[in-house]
This record gives sequence, C-alpha cells and structure tokens, in this order.
Amino acid sequence: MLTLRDTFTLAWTKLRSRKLWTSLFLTLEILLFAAVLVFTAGVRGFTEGLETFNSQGLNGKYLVTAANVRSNPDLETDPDVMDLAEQLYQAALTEHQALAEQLGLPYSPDSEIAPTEYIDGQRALVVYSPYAQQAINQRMSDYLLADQADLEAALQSYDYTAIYLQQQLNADGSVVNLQNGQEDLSRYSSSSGNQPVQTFSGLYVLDDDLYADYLFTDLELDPDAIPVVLSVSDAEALLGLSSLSANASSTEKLQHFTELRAAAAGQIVAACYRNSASQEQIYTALQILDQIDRYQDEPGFTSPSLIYALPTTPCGPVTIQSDTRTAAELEQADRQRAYQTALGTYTEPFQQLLRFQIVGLIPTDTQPASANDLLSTIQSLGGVSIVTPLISTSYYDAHAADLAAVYTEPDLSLSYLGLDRQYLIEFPSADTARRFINEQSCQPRGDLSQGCATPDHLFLLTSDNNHSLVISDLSQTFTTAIIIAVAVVLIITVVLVALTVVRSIASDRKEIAIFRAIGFRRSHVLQVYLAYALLLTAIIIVGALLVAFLLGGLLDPWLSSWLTDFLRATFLTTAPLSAQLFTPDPLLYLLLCALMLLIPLLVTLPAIVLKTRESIISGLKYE
Amino acid sequence: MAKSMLAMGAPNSLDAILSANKLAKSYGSTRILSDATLSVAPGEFLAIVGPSGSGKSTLLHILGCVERPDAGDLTLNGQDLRRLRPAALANLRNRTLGFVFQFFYFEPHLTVAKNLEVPLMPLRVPPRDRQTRVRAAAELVGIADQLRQKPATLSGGQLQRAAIARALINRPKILLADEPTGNLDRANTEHILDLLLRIKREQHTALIVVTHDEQVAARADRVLHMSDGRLTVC
Ligand SMILES: Nc1ncnc2c1ncn2[C@@H]1O[C@H](COP(=O)(O)OP(=O)(O)O)[C@@H](O)[C@H]1O
Ligand SMILES: [Mg+2]
Repeated sequence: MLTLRDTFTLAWTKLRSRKLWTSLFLTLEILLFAAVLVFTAGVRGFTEGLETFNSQGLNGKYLVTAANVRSNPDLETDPDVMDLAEQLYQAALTEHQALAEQLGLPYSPDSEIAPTEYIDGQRALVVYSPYAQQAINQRMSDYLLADQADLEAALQSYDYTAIYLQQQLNADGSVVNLQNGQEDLSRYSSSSGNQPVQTFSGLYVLDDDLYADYLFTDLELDPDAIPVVLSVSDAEALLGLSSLSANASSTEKLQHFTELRAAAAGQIVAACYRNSASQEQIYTALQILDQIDRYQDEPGFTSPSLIYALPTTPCGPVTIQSDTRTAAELEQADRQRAYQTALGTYTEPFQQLLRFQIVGLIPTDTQPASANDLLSTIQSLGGVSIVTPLISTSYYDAHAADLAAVYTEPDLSLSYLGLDRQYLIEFPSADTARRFINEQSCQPRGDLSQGCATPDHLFLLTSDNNHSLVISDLSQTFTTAIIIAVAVVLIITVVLVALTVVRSIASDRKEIAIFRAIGFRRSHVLQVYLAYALLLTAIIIVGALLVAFLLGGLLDPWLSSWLTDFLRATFLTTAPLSAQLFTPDPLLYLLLCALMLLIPLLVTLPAIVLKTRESIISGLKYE
Repeated sequence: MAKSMLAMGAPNSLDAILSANKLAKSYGSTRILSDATLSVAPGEFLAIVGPSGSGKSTLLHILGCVERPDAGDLTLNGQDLRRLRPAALANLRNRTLGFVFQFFYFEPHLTVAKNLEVPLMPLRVPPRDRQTRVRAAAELVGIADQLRQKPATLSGGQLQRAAIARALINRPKILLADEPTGNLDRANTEHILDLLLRIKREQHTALIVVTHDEQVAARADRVLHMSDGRLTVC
C-alpha cells in the first residue's frame, strides 16, 4: 500500500492532465448532482409544507366515507315495478272515488298522477308519481340495509379512530333566504322567473369534533339562531361577495378569504320556511289580487267571495281580508277539507322565520381543472368535499323537536343511494384507510349501477372526503421521481467517471509501465487510479453541495414565502403556518453522497483492474 | 562451459551480482536472443554494444526484470528470477535494480524532487528520510538547484541526470542504462560518463550500459558485443 498522501499526490496529477475534458465533465456532473440535491430538498420542503397545511382541519384526517349504496336505477325500467305501481294506482282510484262519493264531492281521476306513461310506444315509469314511488319503495325494502353495527363488524380487524354519522335533513317545503330582511313574494307568482336562493333547504348533521378547525373562535352565539357551518362558496353567495377566478394570485385569494371571514363570522342570516300549503296560499292570494287588479274597472266585475291579504311581516302568514262566501260555498270547502283529511293529504299552512348564525367556514372542494395538471391537482387539495350547511350533532340532539317542524328525514330516493346517512370513519394512517377501502368496499365487488352493496360488502367506501391519501400518493410520486432522477444521475456519473478513468489509464500506458519498472506493484497503480476516481466523485459531491446550498440559500427566502402564500391560499387557512421550500434532509444527503461516492468507485474498480493488467514491457514500448 | 565464460572475461559466477545463462527470446518467429550468457561482478562497469536492432534493449529489459525470457536462467543478487512472485519481483526492481531508460519519463505535474521520490513511495519511506535521500541523489548528479522545478524546465542533460538520480535513489546494487547518452552532445556525454564512473566508484554499483557510443564503451571495464542473439567479447 502506498501512503494516502502519495496516493493522492499521484492521483492529483491525473486530474491536472486532460484539463478541458475534466473540467467540462466535472461541471456537468456538479450541475446534475446539484440539481438532484436541490430537487430532493425542494420536494421535501414542498411535501412537508403540504403536509403541515394539510394537517389542519378535515384534510389532515384519514377519512373514509361509507355509504350503504342500494340504489338501483334499473327499477325505473323494471316492468314488475310498473305493474305494482299501476296496481297501487288503480286501488287508490277506487278508494278515492268511493270516498268522494261518500262526501258528496265530484271526483275526477285526472287529479291523480298516473305512475306510468307511454313514450314512443314504450311504457315508462313516471318517477314523481306517488304510486311509482310507493312501488319503488316496496321493492327497495328487499335490498340490503346496513347500519352502524354492520359497519363496526366490517371494521373489526382494522385500527380506526372514530366513526362519525353524517345525516341529511331536508326541509319539507321551501327555505328561501331573505333579501335585505325582506321576503321576495313575487317568486310565488307564476310569471316570475326568479330563482330564489335556498341555501338552507337541506342541512347536514355531523359531529363538530370533525370540523372544529373550521369554526370561528370567540363567537357570541345567538341562542335563537341555528349555528351553521357554510362552504366558502355558499358564504360568498349569501354575503354577496363575488368569488375569485381560479387563476387569481395567492395574495388576492388570501385577501379575499380574510374579507370573507370577517364578513361571515357570527353573521346572522334569515330565511323563510313555508310548507307547501303556505306556498299555495300565497300563490292563490297573489292570483286573486292580480285578477282584481286587472278586471275591477271593467263593467260587470264582481269581487271574489274570498280575498286574502299578503303577509305584512317577513315570513308572516296569509290572512283573510274579506270572506263573503255563502253557506253552500263554505260547506263545499269543508267537504273538500274532510276529503283531504281522510286521505291524509291535508296540511295546515305553516311558515316560520328561521335565523342561522354562521359559525364556521369550510373551503369548498374544487375539482382539478385537469387530472394531469400537477399544479391544479395540488390547488384542489385545499378544498374539502364535505357537504354543507353543517349543523353539529349536539345541536341537533338538543333541538331535534324544533328542527322537525321544518326539516324531516330525506326523500327515500336519496336513502337508497346511501346519501341520507353516511358514515365517516377516521383512521390513524393512510395505509389502514387504503387497506380498508381495498378490502371492504362493495366496489368493484358489486356493480355500482346495480346497487353496489353485497351481503359481504355492504358499503361503498371512498376516500374523497379528505386529501391525506392524495398527498401520500403525491409524495409517493415525488419519491419515485427522485429515485429515477438519482438513478439517472448515478448512471451518467458511473459512465463518465469510468470513462474518464479508463481513458486516463489508456493514455498513461507508458507512465504506468515506467512506474512499475521502478518498483510499483500493480496494486499500487490500482490504488492511484481508484484515488483518482474518488477525487473525481469527491469534487462532484463537494461542488454539488456548494452549488445546491448556495442556490438554495439564495433563492429560498423568496421561494419559501411564495410557497407559504401558495399553501395558505390553497388551504384557505389563517393558522400561523409557514413552509420552507429548500429543506435538505441530512440523512438523505448523506445517503446520496455515499451512493455518489461508492457506486462509481465500485463500478470503476473492475475497469481499472482490467485496464492495468497490461505487461510492463508492452507499456514501455508504447509510443 | 567454464572455459567459455572465462574466455568472455566474466567473473566467477559465485561472486557475480548478476548472472544470466543462455537467455533466449523471440518475438513471434523472429529470434532476438538465442544464447545470451553474461555475468557481472559488484561494482563492475559492463558495456554492451551492437548494431541497432540486434536485441540490446531486449536483453536489458530481461535483466531489468520487466520482461521474461523464453528460456535460460537469470540470477540477481543470489535470487533465481523464475522463482519470484510478482510482488517480490516488483520489490527487486525497486530496491536492487536501478533503471535508466532510453527515453526519460517524468510526471510533468510533479516537481523534480517529487519525481525522484517515486521509487521511495512503495517503501513508505517517511518524508524526512525522503528529503535527505532526494537531496543526496540530486547533489550526486548535480541537479540540486532544479529540485523545486517542473521537469519541463530542465535541459536534456539535466533530465538525464535526474533520471539517473531517480534510478539511484534506493541505492541499487545494479544500475541498468539503455543508451544513456544517446540524445546528448559530446560534452554532456562526458559529464554523464564521469557521473556513472563516480557512482561505480563511490557506491560500488555495478553498471550495465547499452550503448553504441565508442566514447562510452572506451571507459567500461568490459565490453560485450551483441550479434546474432549472442554476446561475444570484443
Ligand atoms: N514487441 C516486439 N515485437 C516484435 N518485435 C520486436 C518487439 N520488440 C522488439 N522487437 C524487435 O526485436 C529486435 C531487437 O530490438 P531491440 O532489442 O530494441 O534492439 P536494439 O536495442 O539492439 O536496437 C528489433 O528488430 C525489433 O524490431
Ligand atoms: Mg535499443
């Protein structure tokens, strides 16, 4: 063995010959490896930033949505269902006619909605007919119905944190937002094209533990208002703030969000609930008033016997202005009511002013503009696909009776889709969540279009309520990209280092022969060229580290504040979080440098051994 | 056999520092050496002369252990060359032999001093000893002032001296030189000759010098003539 000093003294002379090639090759390699180093540090900074911001709120939770999907659209074309619907319809016709006769009322079968119709000679179900719905309901009860116990059974062998029940409530009637405290009654007139804003026609009940991060803090709660959490887009619509375009800058988005929060926090919004009887009353009142208005000046006009007065307060009742009906007319009206009561279709007009207090804002889920666009995929990560307006389970439990006056269980057609009651299962890790979905979801086992649920797999499981899984996939993608980049750079380095060393040996044939003639062993020569290879890789590593840290250090303050703004705007958070883009991982750097040092050396070694096998004499005679 | 050796004026093979017997070497079908026999006593100055292409360099390479003969025996410093493993052979080249090549190669990026150190490297000689030995060798050949320079700045004569200094640095018992004055003018040739004789005298080093220079052959103790692959006394 030569001493290290001698080895490197001699190796150093190799570096000084072939200067042009060596400096070109080293510059290229330094830039390549520096790019890898900067890339890994950037990816780490980016994913860590993403994870930091994502760990807030719902995004940070590994949630799986479980829906007992029993929908079967084919029922609508099922002849058996149509037959059943027609039977129910015929039975109702007979029953209603008998009842009308008994009450002395005229009866027309046209007042019933037939459950089937013929379209182009094909029999089709009229889905809004009550008889069609009854028929579907009867058939659907055969389908598998699952509850929390079934879910817990499916979860038996999985580690999970909690199960949350999300229930849907639907207003049986309309809940129309007041405009500047006023009710817009014109919408009840048939000529009005106004589409009323109905933010609160449905509510979702969910434990607020799950979305606590989105609640405003230090709010003074109004005891008479229903505390709701709204999506950002609902709040924008409600408060009259226009939403920003998707390509608004991070600063604009943050500014907008701050304004929105300020406007929304604790804000009371009022809406008017009217059941269908109340809506009908207004409609009738408007029609009569309209007729009087139009025809009262004409000769022979007689005022209607029953005139209503429109509500005088927002969401007030319709009152009777004048009632000059004869005894016969009144009796007829009583019979009509008795008939409806007997059929169970009579309802008293009911209206109620509802007051909601905005207690939280949830970023709206935005679909990525294109699935292939990494940036828009990342931007879409900020949103949560949870449905709003949300009220908390505890509020619902305490006010169930009050709420029931307005909100009822949803339409059965929804419950077959498993949408009225969904479970959100929180898992401690992405892996468990993913495993649970893969092993327990009814899809792809059951056909979704045929009602996904099967006896062994009752729930359709999806991860779309949060983005932790997406982010972990994303970092997987980044890791793969890093591995590929490292592999490519390693291969290039191995090739170039081996080429350089082998070229050097080839052009040093005579020198090597002379050194051996004056006493160097082959192993000594080997040592010198190995040291040369080591010097080359060491220069690459040191140079790349310098370039990487210089570049990272210079650009990082600027890039990191960009990233922080970007993430803040993406996740619409006010939490005091920040991200740092250039975040080198010491262990990874150590590993990469070790790979860079050792792999070219290991690959070059056999080449050096082979190339230094030449006999001394042929080297000496080489011109 | 003994008679022929005596006829060539050779020393008794027992006293010889180098003795070669019936060395043969061919390149393909061309026979270069067929029956080369010689021996050299310690401190003896042997010149080998002969026409160009007669195989002088080939013989010297074999004696210098950088090439193996096809046949024949070679004993160096009492060691049978055929028995030696590569590492021992390298050691022999390093310590017992000093080789001055027809061309001189120096590492251009190292100083003359560092170049002279090269034969000391396999021996892991400590830096302090290196300095004294390099200085002594340089002073001996008269290039002490050029030690810190790069080889490219030295003249032909100086480089030849440096080559001799490098060959002498491990105090070899035998110094082999292939046309050491081939590229030098008359004055420089005389200087180198003086130097070689001084080394022979002061360090008792045996000299085997291949030359076609009358001036050199005239100063040798003994001259052998190379022809037809054999050595004969002139
Ligand atoms: N590697 C080789 N292959 C074939 N022929 C060679 C080789 N080396 C030397 N020769 C030939 O051997 C002969 C002797 O060469 P050499 O020993 O250099 O002669 P000298 O030194 O006496 O001029 C020459 O004819 C030369 O061409
Ligand atoms: Mg020659």
